[in-house]
Amino acid sequence: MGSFLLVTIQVDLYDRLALNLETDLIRMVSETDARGVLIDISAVGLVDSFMGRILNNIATMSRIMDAETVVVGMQPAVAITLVELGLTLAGVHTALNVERGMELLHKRLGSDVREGGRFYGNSE
Amino acid sequence: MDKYLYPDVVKLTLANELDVVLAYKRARQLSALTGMNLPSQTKFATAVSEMGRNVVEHVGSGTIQFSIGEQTGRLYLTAIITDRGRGIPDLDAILNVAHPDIRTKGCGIIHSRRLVDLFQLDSHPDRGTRAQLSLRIPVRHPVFSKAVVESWQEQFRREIHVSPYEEIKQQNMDILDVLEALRLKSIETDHQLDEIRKLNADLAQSNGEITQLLAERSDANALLGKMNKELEQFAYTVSHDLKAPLKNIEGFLNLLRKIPEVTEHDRASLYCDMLLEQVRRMDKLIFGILSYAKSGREQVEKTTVQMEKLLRGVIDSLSIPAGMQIHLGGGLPVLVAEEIYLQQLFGNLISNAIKYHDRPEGNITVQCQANEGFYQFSVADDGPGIPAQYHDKIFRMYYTLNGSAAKDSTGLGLAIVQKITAEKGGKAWVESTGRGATFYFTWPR
Repeated sequence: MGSFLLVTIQVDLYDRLALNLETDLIRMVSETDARGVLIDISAVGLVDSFMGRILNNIATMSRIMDAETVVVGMQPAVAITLVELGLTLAGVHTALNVERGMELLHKRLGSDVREGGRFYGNSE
Repeated sequence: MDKYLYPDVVKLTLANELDVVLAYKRARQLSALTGMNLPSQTKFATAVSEMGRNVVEHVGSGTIQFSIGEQTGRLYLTAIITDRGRGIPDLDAILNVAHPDIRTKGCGIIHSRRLVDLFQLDSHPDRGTRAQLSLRIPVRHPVFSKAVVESWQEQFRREIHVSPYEEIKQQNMDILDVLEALRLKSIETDHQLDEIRKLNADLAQSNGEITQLLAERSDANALLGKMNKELEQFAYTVSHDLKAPLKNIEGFLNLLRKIPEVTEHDRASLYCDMLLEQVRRMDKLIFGILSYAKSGREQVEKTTVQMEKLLRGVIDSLSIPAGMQIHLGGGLPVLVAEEIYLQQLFGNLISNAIKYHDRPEGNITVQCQANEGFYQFSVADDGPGIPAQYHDKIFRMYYTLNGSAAKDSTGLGLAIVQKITAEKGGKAWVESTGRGATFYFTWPR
């Protein structure tokens, strides 16, 4: 069985960086045989349509590669903005934090999966 | 906006995606500073991000200016985003989409409009696009003043270097500085290399010159050695040959002293003749030595020399025995040359031909052949001839073949001939098989 990938976004994602994240993540899903992708956006203060599109793309592509995507740690203000925009992150599961996200993934995939991690961006 | 209280709080250029990041950061900071809560800050920053990205993505560059304005008694934080693009072609269609999907083109504009309180968009193919996004500032906002706004600006200026974009920009500047320094260093190195190459060339040239000088010196040394040898031989033979007549003179003087009476006048007279003969011989020897020493070395002025005339003069100066015929060949040239040398050459050769002839009657022929670059003169006789093994030796100093015929010889004639021709860059030699001998020498044209 494959593992989970944990991606923590800790910098402001400008376009090229976001696109790199997309391709890196898909490659990692393929390499590690991951069954779940956790994207921690607790440090992200803004999700606009571009960012939304990136998250959507990751989820869609992961699903094609037989992996579930959970976005965790969304700031309340970001959530409010998304609601005001009427944006639904189609195909992207959300959870309050990493632990809840893991639970969600375990629930969806069964309990016999390994856990792995990967941080994206710098550690500031 | 009815009026702008602070029209130019912050202004940024939008030239790339990192500028968009900086713009939404400023939007968030300004909304916080003007007292908005976190959701409002996020909304305003998101709206700015949407419009800013549109500019960078569709036009390439633009500007964003933040200001604080007032409309119908309320304060607004405003971002005016302008570009010089060709406008948004299907703006009406975009704005009329009720539920835009994030994959739909133009959804950023609709999102932006939804997030702010006042939204104004002007787009024109010639003037470009101007978007004005305004969000209401809470009623209980902090106090605004010129000083407060200036303190924000100061804060942004100070902080500018901690943004990743500015950091990267700064690093780029550093890299550019380093590259420039490297470029200058490279130019300097090239310059030094050029100098080294030039110095090497100079050195090579000096080496060449030194080698040439060494070669010349070695040639000069060889010549010097040869001359020293000649001089040694010369000194030896001169002393030996000068001694002979002196011994004779001494002998005759002793004989003269032993004559008891003056009556034996005849005998005394005979001794005196013999003494005179020896004195003449010494005189001739000394003259010969001087001629040899000077031959070909003196700076003699060149004159126009008519060879036929010169040869007749030489023949007249010699005492020619009655049976000896001297013939001059046709085509004798007119030269520009040192006359004295030519006189010495022909004088020696013709007198040798007469001196060593073994018969009372004989023929001597002088001829000239014009060759490429030089004349070849010849003096041919029908005398006894010279065996081949002596053809070289006779040109040496004091070498005479026939003892009896050499009584009047200094042994220097042919040495002088050879020396003069060599000095003029030519050569002298003899050809003889059986009877008769022909002496040749060349002279430059």
